[in-house]
Amino acid sequence: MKRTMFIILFAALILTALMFTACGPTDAAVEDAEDIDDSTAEGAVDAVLADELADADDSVEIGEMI
Amino acid sequence: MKLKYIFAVLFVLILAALPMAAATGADTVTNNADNQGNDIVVNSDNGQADTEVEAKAEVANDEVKVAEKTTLQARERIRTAQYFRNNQGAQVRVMQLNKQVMQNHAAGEFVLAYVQENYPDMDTTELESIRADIETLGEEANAISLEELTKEEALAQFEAIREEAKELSTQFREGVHTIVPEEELDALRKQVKEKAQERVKEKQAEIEAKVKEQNRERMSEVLEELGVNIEEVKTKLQAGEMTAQEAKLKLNKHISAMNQEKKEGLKNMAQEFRARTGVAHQKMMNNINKEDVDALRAQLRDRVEAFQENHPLPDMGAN
Repeated sequence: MKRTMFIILFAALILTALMFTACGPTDAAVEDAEDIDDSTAEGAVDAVLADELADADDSVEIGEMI
Repeated sequence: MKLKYIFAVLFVLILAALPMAAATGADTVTNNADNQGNDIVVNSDNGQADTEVEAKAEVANDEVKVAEKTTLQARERIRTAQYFRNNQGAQVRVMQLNKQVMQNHAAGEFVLAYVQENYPDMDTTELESIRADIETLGEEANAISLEELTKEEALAQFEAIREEAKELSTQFREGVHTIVPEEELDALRKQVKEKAQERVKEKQAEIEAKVKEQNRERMSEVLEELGVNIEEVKTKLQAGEMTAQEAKLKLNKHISAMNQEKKEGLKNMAQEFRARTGVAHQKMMNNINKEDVDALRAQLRDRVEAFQENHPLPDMGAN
């Protein structure tokens, strides 16, 4: 019986971890300087770097051809 | 004993529901206006009220879209100003513009090939001409003399080319929509995007190399501005033995090890730095007035026309 309880609880933990992963924020949102919480030293420096460092994936918006 | 199992199952369900509840809450906040409109439609019973409410919801949705677009445009303008703070950054931004123009030019080629194959009776002369104009804009972007112009002048030229490319892309897109039926557009869009991205792979690699090199230098400068002195990072960045991303990891460790007083000092310095540069970027964008950009666009159009007169349209064969 203890083993069954352990399996159920273990499954609950795995399920919770998976759900948090699925519902969590995307990387893109975290990387945007506007979304960085700059109320800590780490956050404030991260926000500066997000502004100051170039990103090879940044694009210039000119619209689509189709 | 059974009760224990019931509790365990309930525990599982509650734990699983927690993240979903958190995510739903966040969505409600970010898409508030969208959801408001949709909710109204669902709750209405009367037919006439439905129509009115649907119209209101549509207006609300359009307003949300316009607001989102305006925010994105404002962010992109500030981002461009951040790149134009120095010549190297401006070079990267110009490369990004050039890549985007090349990508649209390639997309135009694939779209035209599709139209010519599937709708051979349609006249595509105008579309071919627009596509050729877009190609010339790529050359114009490369020709911006970053060494000779002030930041504001270079930025105005960049904006003129970007605006012109945007307008030509819109004209091309609208022209295609008069020929290709809507039900074919999604599949074609996907196919064209993949092919066009493939065409600019080399350019993207060039941008990545340039960004890597520039970020090393910028990282050193920012560390100095913030008064952070990590000798190992400084030396390795200068010698090209460390990327900006690797330096960032070292920096995070360095900050974690600081005492509260030093952390507070660094935080204030970083916030002040950001406020100062933010004002400078905004000022730079404000100095670019619409009349200057429009005048540059008029000159640009003359040059593009002159170029087209002297050069025949490129071969339209699809790859």
